[in-house]
Amino acid sequence: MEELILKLKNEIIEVLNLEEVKPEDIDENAALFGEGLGLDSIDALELIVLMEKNYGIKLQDPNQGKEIFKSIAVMADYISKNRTK
Amino acid sequence: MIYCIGHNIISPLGFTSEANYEAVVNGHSALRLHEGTFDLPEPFFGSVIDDDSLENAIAPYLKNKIFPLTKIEKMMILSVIKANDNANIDLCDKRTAFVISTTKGNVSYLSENNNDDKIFLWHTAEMVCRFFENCNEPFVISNACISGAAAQMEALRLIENNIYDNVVVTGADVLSKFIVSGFQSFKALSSERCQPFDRDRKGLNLGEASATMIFSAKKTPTATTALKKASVRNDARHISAPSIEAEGLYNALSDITEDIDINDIAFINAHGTATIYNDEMEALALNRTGMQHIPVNSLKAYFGHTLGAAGIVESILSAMALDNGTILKSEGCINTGAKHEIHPVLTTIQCSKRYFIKMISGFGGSNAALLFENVRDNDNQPVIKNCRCQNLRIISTGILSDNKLIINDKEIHIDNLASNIPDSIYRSMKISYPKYFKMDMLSKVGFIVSELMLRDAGFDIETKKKEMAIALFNSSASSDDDIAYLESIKDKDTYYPSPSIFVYTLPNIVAGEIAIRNKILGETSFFISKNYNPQMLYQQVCNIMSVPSTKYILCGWCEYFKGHYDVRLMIVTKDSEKGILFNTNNIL
Repeated sequence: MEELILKLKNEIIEVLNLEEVKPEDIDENAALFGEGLGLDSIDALELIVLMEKNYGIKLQDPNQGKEIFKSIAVMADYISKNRTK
Repeated sequence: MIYCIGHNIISPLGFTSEANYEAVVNGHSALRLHEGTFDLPEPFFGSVIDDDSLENAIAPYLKNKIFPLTKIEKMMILSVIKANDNANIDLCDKRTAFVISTTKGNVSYLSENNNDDKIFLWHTAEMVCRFFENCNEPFVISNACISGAAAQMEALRLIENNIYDNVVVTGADVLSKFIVSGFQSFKALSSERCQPFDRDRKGLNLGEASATMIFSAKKTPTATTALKKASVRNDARHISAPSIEAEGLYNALSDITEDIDINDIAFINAHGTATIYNDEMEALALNRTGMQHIPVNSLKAYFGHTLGAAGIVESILSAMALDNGTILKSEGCINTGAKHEIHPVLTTIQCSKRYFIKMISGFGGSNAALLFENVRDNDNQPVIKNCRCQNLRIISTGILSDNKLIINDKEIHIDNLASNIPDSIYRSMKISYPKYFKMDMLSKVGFIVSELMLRDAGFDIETKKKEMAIALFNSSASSDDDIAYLESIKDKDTYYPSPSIFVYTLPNIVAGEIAIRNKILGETSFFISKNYNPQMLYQQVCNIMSVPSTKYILCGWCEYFKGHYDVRLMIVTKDSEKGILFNTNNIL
């Protein structure tokens, strides 16, 4: 799981253009949205693309993201259980 | 006030305004499920104009014309021809101007190696003007979904300020893999017919249409509608999400209703896209302005969201309805479902009041509101205000071109100059803004120059600036981002449309980014012209400054295309004795 969490951190930094953020700056248990990384609704949509592109998980309803994208740890857990690639 | 002396709608429901109106009254919809259309992997619910029908309709008019035209150009040209059947003006007269409204023009012709001029919005406008042998440079407005309404506001100013006698406002967009996939990536589309203002609404449908309104300073015997007031205001909140405070729409609605009794308003034709957040935002704006009791309708369930044509299509049908003493049914709404109380028109009803409002909002935080009046029984009223630019002054300038950054005539040294110039400046000048690195290059270059100018001129980022407007121009619109987005959808195996790239495929987003950073709540506009045209810029600034509440305009050229950038911005004011006189000689 630790390996997946690190991979996810790097992928999120890249796709969301978090230029000044390093993987070690991100607390995997902290909220992804709101405070912290300051992500917004477009970032949430981009995370849906990331899930499909890198892990073969297709989310039709963006509302599902509210639960899955709570934190990196929650996201990694969901990916490990549902990934198709 | 200006008079609409001719109009037309081209849609799958018909090729005249009357045919479209009849279809709407009878509850017909152009929306249907499209599977495999545009080679899209997922189906979509929308409306598409049949190519053969369009060809047949325009063929008689193309007999002696030898230049090739694309679908959108044919749609616009056919619409103008038919609108002028009533208006009967001289379309090539030097006192007649064209205002073109489109969000994506010929983007379907874009490919990685296509440098054909056809892909540029100014070229589409040029083709339309060339067809009618009109020699004036067209005004091209690309302000996302509010483009059609913003184009009408442009006509109002051009005529009221006595720059032109007649203005042809024509708008269109055609659907393509590019556009539909982008909205799909935003999860904004409903898989069934849309339901504006309904509690179970699931999103919007897209549609194709072109529409034209010919405006004049003089009323003709058949003219029944006048555009009385118009306002565009920014939310300064988010580049794609509707404002949770509805600030921009509230301000725009307040502007157009300040001199009238709102009890004389028959109805409000909303944007009503049927997304959860748009419809909620509109309901809030109506409550904030005390207009929640006025009947409200959306026409999206008949046509879908027709993008650059939407503001024109819906204004025409609403004007026809008002003239018939009717308020059109807000199709798709069965159980009203906005948190803030409003009154959608659940069945077509009669009315006898004189005004209606068209309101519309879009990406980039922009909102527009138009006030129309039925003038069937009125005499011609003088419309010329002759607002003149007096003592406008340039109080700040910024240039970013050829690796040089010049703010208020001082060249700024950039540390560690790298290939990404705006990023080098951002770091060298120690600017701190978390959203900066999410921006596209067009927004970055505009942001950097405006940031340094506004700070140097003493404007902070905390104070709300209702009195400040933004008016930017360029030639390529957002073609650089269009190419980047195309990359994400071109191959079947790597088809992953990117929402964060798609949102930047609208040029007015740079104005939205600057507005958000600086809390600029005034008008924001993006114009396209083939080349940098100081005369056109001067005219636009004068027009915008004719709005009494506008005191400052951040304006100028903001271009980025294929690694080349050219930014020349100014802050112009009517509220200072400092700076230099704003005239065509002093424009950067």
